Amino acid sequence: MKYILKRVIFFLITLWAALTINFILPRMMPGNPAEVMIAKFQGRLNPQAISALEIAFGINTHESMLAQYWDYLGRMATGNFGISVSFYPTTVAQVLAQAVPWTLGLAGISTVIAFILGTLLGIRVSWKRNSASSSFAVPIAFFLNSMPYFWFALIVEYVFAFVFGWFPLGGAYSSSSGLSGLALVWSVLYHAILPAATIIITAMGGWMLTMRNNMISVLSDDYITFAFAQGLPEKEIEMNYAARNAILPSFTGFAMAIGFVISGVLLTEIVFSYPGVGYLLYQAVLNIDYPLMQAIFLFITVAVLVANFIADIVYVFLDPRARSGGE
Amino acid sequence: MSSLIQEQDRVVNDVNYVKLFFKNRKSAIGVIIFLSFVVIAIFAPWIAPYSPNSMAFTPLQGPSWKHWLGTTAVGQDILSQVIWGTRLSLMVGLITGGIATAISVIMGLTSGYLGGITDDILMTITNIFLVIPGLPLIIIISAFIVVKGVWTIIFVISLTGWAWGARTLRSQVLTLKNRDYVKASVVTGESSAHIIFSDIFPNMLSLVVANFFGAAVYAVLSEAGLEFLGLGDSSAISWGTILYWAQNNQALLFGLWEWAAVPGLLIALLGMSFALMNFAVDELTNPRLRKR
Amino acid sequence: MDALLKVKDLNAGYEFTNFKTWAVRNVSFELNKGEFLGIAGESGCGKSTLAFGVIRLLMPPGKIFSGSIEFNGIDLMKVDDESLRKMRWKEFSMVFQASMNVLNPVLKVRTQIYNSIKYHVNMTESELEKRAKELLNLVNVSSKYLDAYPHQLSGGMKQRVVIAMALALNPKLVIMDEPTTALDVVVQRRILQEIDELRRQLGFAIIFITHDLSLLVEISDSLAIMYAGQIIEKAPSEKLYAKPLHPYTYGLMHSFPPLVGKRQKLHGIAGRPPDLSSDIKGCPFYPRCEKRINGVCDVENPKLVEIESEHFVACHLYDGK
Repeated sequence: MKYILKRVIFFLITLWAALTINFILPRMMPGNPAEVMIAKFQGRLNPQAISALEIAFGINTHESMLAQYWDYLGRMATGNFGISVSFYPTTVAQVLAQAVPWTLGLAGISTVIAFILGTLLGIRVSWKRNSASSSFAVPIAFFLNSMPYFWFALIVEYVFAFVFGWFPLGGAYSSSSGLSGLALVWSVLYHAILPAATIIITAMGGWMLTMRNNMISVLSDDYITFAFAQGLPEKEIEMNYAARNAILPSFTGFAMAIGFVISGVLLTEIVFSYPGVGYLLYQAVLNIDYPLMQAIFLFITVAVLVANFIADIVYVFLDPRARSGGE
Repeated sequence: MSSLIQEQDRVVNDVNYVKLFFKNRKSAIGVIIFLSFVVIAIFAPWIAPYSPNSMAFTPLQGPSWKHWLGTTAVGQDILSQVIWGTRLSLMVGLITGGIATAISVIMGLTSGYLGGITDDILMTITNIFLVIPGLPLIIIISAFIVVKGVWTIIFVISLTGWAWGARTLRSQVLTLKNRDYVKASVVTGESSAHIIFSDIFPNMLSLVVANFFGAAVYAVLSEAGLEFLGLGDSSAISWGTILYWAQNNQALLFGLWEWAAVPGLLIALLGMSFALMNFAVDELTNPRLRKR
Repeated sequence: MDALLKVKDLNAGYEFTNFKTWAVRNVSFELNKGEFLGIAGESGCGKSTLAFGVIRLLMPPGKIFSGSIEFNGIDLMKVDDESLRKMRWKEFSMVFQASMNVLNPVLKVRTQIYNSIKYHVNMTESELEKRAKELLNLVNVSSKYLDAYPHQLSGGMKQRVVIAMALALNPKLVIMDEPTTALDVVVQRRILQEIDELRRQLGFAIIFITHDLSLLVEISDSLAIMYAGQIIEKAPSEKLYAKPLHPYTYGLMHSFPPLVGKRQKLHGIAGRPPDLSSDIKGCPFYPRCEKRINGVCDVENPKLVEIESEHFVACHLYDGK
């Protein structure tokens, strides 16, 4: 279908753009950052590492920009992201591979829960516009949406982990005496509760407000009045007529929403020292580990692109107008 | 239903903005909060009890009568820092919001009005910036920029925050382009510039204002996030940098929760005030949201 | 009593935070079983509000302020919500303006037709399918469109589907709010004829709202003319056509040039209708009326009175003042 084709093309173009940004940035900044890094680590990096960096960042080479670019693309395609400076001599790819499952687990599950909860709440709140619950829920969602995520994570950590001591302060699982099997699983879940709760609460607000606004818009559409005229039961109208139409913009605006969720995940991981990709990025920044930073940026972007693409596909299933190429 | 559209346009043009912001209870609260911050920022030198940079006091004290919020790890008064920090946080929020909105307007208007291949190219660029996740991009750009400073932050946040607005404004331009009065102007041979500025833009004003508020919230939160991660200018004083130092010095573990809680709360309040003020404009652009 | 619908002193309009619009002012009329009543008037005269109001379909900010609506002996203003819901579609249904987005974009035509039936009457899947095909047949739409989505249908087809849905449960009354306005003239004519035929077949009453008087003059049994929220004349169609009493009706009739016959000077009616959010003193047509009587028409609002058999008029020219 034309729609899917357009989305695929967009995916590829954006991927290319991200790769190119990644390539250009270090070469474009005043005060060549790679040289700064090399100077900083002088003596601690062996000559091979240094020359690898030089190649990666285009310093002291006599190759043209274009040649470097091709080289770079080739390396990206084969997953050769170089060697991590802060975790030397481990390759960036290996370091990244360790962190990815934690983020996927934490962020993935939390996001899905936040989406479902937020959307359902949004529907409920808009249906009974003047009820008590709506007057509460909306301002709260509002506040949650305006506050800095990391601050909220700090408060949650302080109150529930430090003051009450109900949950661990951070980490993905207890490192004490080799846990395995069910005990390990339980430890992982236990450690995930606070960060997950933080992400869910902060992400939920946005989806709730979006769904509410969409519902209010949809509720003044003519087919809703027509549905009432037919004497359809309220639940049917609320779900199959209103909500099913109101949810569509949530998918077209998915990329934007995901962007905010990513911020939330990143900052939460940092606050809770959760060994995912976000925490890794933070460490990479602190250690000026450019190869690692770039790889993480690329990874996150690709993840968002993939998530967005999946959302686009789901949209095609939900909106019949997209299937037949629109009106 | 077309009469509803005409009424919407008429309402947009007849609006008294001052009354609008105060009539809506939510936005009135937002305005009050915002103005309070402005006052604090302007009169900081007179309101703050001490100089924010002075390290003359005993470090890591909890709240006391001499230091309402306690002191930092190097002996600075936190309350003074918070008061002075209002300036930077407010300024960055407003300026960045303004710049991002300006970019959104230019991109959205041009793209929507000119259409055709220009539209396609500009929209692709917009969509790319929309999809590439903001915070990681901000982080990576900031990490690469060796020169740290307030303007770096403003630059980086504006660069990543305009895309959503551009898309919304473009949609509005597309709708307005088809209104009868615009078509009339085209037929009578008015120049494009005239049509854009006299016919289209005034009817988008409320949407642009709404956009500005959204951008300002995004800016305030992003600035705080950047500072918190240590990617901003750590020697400057803003609510975000206060949080940075609080986190770095394990304030919470020392029980000095005010050090972290208060700046964060203020950030949330400032962000909320923009969002609240947005309510007044929101109901203007979407009359269906108005309370009946 | 023969009357299917009895509307008495109905007042309805729209309520906003600072002001109210009285779109329907003290409207009273009766409708008999199987009768085709046309309600005509210019834009903004309140006819749509009346149409929605009569079956209590006004959504906020729309509201019925006062009055009574008796349908088949049941007072619709007093009935509880659930009973009202059960009555809908079975007793009375509505066809909206063709330009509206009346069909749910994400559901198939089949599903929507089924929905209009199954919440009122228990039918098996195959019975529903049979009925759906019957209905589409009635309105000359091929049943292959059952599995289509609304955006795949043309304007005329969508309107036909809506009409078919409105007849699904054999209601006693179908209200049609400008059902052909957004369609081109040829389709308009055809659909009108189809509607009339269906009415003869199935025997339901119609209230047909329009701003185009010429459409209805042949097909309707009676006509009511609305102006500024009030019915200012009502009569059997032939009588109204032959002898329009109210100056406004007369002006309306002579705004259309006849297709045949001598060339005539077009009249039109100068001026504009009054603002419905304020009180109107005297007859609402006073400022535009060529036959106005100063001291009478600007002081007292004439009541709708039966002047000749079944011919009602609200005008001081006839009520002996």
